[in-house]
Amino acid sequence: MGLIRYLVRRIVERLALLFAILVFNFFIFQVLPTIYGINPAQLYVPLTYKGLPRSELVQALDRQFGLNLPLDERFFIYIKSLLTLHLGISMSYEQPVITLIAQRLPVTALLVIPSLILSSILAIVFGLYSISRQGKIGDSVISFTAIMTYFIPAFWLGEIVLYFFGFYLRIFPTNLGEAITTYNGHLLTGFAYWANLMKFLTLPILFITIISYGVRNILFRNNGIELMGSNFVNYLRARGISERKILYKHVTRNAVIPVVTRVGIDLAFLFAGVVFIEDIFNIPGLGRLLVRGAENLDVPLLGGDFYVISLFAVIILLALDLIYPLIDPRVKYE
Amino acid sequence: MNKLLRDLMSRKTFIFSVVVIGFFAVLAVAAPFLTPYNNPYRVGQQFVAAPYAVPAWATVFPQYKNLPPDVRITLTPSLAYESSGEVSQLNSSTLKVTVPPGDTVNVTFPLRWNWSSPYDVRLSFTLVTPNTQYFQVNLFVRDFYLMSLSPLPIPPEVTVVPGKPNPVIFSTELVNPGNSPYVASLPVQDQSLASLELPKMLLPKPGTYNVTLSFVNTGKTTEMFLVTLPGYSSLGYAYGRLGTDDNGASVFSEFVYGARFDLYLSLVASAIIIGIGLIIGLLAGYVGGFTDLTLNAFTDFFLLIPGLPLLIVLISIFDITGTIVNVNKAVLILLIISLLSWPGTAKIIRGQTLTLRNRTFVEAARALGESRMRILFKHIVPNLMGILFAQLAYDVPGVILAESGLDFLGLGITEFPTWGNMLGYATNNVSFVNGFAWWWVLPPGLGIVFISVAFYYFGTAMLDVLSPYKLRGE
Repeated sequence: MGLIRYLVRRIVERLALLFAILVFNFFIFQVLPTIYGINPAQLYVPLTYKGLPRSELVQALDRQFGLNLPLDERFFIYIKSLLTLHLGISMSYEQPVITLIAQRLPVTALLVIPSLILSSILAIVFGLYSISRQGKIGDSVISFTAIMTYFIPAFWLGEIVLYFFGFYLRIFPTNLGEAITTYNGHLLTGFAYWANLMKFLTLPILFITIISYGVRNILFRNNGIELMGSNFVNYLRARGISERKILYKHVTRNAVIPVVTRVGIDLAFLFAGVVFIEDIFNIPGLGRLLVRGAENLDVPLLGGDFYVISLFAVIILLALDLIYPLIDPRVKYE
Repeated sequence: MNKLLRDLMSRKTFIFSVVVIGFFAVLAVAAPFLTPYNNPYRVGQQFVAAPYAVPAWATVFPQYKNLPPDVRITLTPSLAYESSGEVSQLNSSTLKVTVPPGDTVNVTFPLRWNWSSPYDVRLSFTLVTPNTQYFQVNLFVRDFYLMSLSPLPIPPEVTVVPGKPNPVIFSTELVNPGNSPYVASLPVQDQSLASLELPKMLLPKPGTYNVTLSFVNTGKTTEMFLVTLPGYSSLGYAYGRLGTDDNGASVFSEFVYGARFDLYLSLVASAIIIGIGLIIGLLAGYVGGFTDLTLNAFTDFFLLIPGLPLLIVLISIFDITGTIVNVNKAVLILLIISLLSWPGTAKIIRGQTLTLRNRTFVEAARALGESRMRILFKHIVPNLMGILFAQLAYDVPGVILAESGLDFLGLGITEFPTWGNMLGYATNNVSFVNGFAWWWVLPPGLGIVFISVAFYYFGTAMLDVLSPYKLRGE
């Protein structure tokens, strides 16, 4: 019973969140311009557009998207278009926004998912080392490094790493286009394509790993150290179970729960987090799309990209809520 | 209080944080005294040295050994003229040159040069010419016939007014076939490159070079010229504490003023964040019930929409709709970052208020009939002090990173230096040619990292020392 109540509550909460995000989008992209006396249709015609008179285009857009209707009617039209993923046409790319996003989503996923796995492993391995040597020099060094990496600006160190390993030592290719095409510009196929692609992605993946493991490491370490002093561990010790076994079997199992939550949250904000890294390494992912949209003042693209990023976050968070009882059975009895 | 201080002082991390924060605070406060340039992005404050000049202290490294600093000296004529009657010292800064009819008098100024070639070469002096049409004054450096001054406007000669003081300036940056006989004598395809090549030819390596003024009298009477001692100046490739950027502006000034702005912005933003977080957290935690539910949902919403994309979207939309035409962009960024960053703080304060509310001393106060307000401000808020200080410190790195990120992407402040836009401009300009410009790329990044870590440790120490109960923030 407790489980069902938990699940229903979570699903309702996430649906409410989704609705709030829809309203928020409407507010930013429709209400805000209206407040400042700008017809939203104006924002959907590129400033550099030459051809039909601007006013005619604006009127046509008005009719097509119902932008001249009162706000309350527009609200339902807008929500419907978002829910059916009719996100409009990008002005700078001159393609439907949803096509652009569908193209870039796998790229970002290819970048983020391996680094997520790697950094979680790194966090847990270093964390275990720290817990078993609590308060000693090794623990201090690892903790300090982890905190430090958390505060390193990704865009700064990324540029240095790219320059040093890519341009100076020439270990990694620095240009995605050159990496996955033959010398005369044809796209590579089959194994060579994937091998070269992964060779290019190695540096950004390693970089994201290094820069993002810190939070999880500290979380795991602090949790583990707290658990090592808890009553149930004392009880296990009293039973004569070896320190190794306590650490690896009992403490790890419990200390890893917040790390899993954290990984889930990181996964949810996966497309949001790598904006800088995509910008620096020049990888055509969702984050770069957003920056390009902002640079070109491409409102449909900005709106669509932001909506998809938020939507993805909500879906992943919901999925996390649903599998959470499997990881930590205690939530059922909350 | 004494025990508190002793407790703090016993922590190495706290001492580290105080030293680092103190260092940057001193930089920020003393900025106007440390550097004469208050906004190196303004054109008037650029070119204080050559672009990509290395820091002056870097000349101890072998690869930067011979790079010249900025040089500004007044040349003195060689001693040989002391005895001759044609050249005499009028006063400490002016020479009198008497030229017989149909004759030429050369005055040589030796220039002792200890470095490799500079970025440019500038020579300036004031010349009082005789009141006739029949004279010419030529300027040579080594054997290069750089400039010719005469009363007749025939290019490449430069016109001077007879009988009056004429300020004369020669600069390798300004040479063209119309004002320099040497450039005019070059093949056409080389003329446009002359201003870049001349400094290397005039002062190729350490040594003593002659700057010569030659006074020519073509008339029939003895004429007298007055000339001030020429001032030599050139921009060097080694400058100041942190060198220069691509526009020859002082990186040290940018760094100092960037620190000033970043510290100011992050402290103000953190204060706003704490303010909002305290109000919402206290209300939600202490009042409870429906208020708690609503405020908590509100907080969760802001916690769960992706922050950086929202920041980018908001800044762009405000840009497009013209909201920020009349608003200072720094203020706008400050407000947006503050309004997006409070949820974490609010959650922590709410949680702490919840546990405090059920403590015995609060219940006792309630039983004594104290008013809600009194309980809130006399019993609960003082017990939150540790957390508030810690959150203030924890929020600073977040604000600095967010603001720097926006500036880096070019969506934030571009008019005056911040650490973020320094990094943005630096990383856009580095290449092999300037050897990665480490003096420009490293300081702002290291600044961000160090100040963030320092504030983090400061917050942790505060949390541990000030909170009456054992708490641990992430």
